[in-house]
Amino acid sequence: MEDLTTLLDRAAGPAPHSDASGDLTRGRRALARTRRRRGAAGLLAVAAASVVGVGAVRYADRPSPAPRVVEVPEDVTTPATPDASPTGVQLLAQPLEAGPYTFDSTPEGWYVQGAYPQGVTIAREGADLNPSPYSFEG
Amino acid sequence: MPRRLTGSERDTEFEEFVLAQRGPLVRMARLLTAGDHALAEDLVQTTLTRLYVAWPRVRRAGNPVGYARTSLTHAFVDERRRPHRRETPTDEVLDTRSYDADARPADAVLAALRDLPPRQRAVVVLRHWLDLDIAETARLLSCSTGTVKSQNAKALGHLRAVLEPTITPTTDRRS
Repeated sequence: MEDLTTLLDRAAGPAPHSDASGDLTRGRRALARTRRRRGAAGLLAVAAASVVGVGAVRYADRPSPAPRVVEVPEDVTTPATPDASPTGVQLLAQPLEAGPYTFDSTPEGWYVQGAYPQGVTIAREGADLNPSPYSFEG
Repeated sequence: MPRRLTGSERDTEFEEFVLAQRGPLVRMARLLTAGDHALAEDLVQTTLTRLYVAWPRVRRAGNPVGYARTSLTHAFVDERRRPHRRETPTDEVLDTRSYDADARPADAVLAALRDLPPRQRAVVVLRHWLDLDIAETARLLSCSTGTVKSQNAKALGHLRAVLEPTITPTTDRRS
């Protein structure tokens, strides 16, 4: 009668001859695949951040939407509306360096407020701003 | 800040680890797979590949053997969960007489292990072959100590039922 530990040890059989070359090759291939995947994911993140950054600039450059026509009853006095001057942004054909990103054009009168791997924030010069460089609100 | 590991350092350290630990890992995998040598080799290859990729983190943790055992156990449990590996119910009831009385005791143990669900088999291997305590076994299996105790009791009950009087299953000596 034998105890379980002894029988398990016998059932496990002899240790095979260890050769590391195959494991090393498989490991190197797996590491290369992992790095390629991470690289592709990083490029996607950069591309997404660039699209967001350019989109933000273009959005600021967009003309104000056409005013809606509202029928006003005659007995109601319409308040005076302030002049809605369009906030146009002039894009200069010069590259804008923003941390890890470079943009083809530079919005005139704007500067890079925050640049980090996930995105870029820009702000109008002289504007009353939220002190956080990562804030999207003034 | 720790120095970044170079590629050749990673290779050298990994190679040393494989030369020292591949044999014990293959033996552990043979028990987990209840004597399926091909699957055991697959599991060890998977484990060592993961180990190589994670080597900087593994060496920082300072317990590559523990990491490899954990990874191997998880690879085994995951493998058994795959649809093509899942056991199908059968009307046949396990009969202790189906074990060949003349078979080598080690073969009888492998046959008895084959009847155990993956986690119970893993508990038997970790507790009674690697001699890990309940807490360490629970950590490797990512479950509670209570689960380890109950799985161990069920597994030993089965082994006793089908293998006595061939063996004396080791009881819970430690906690």
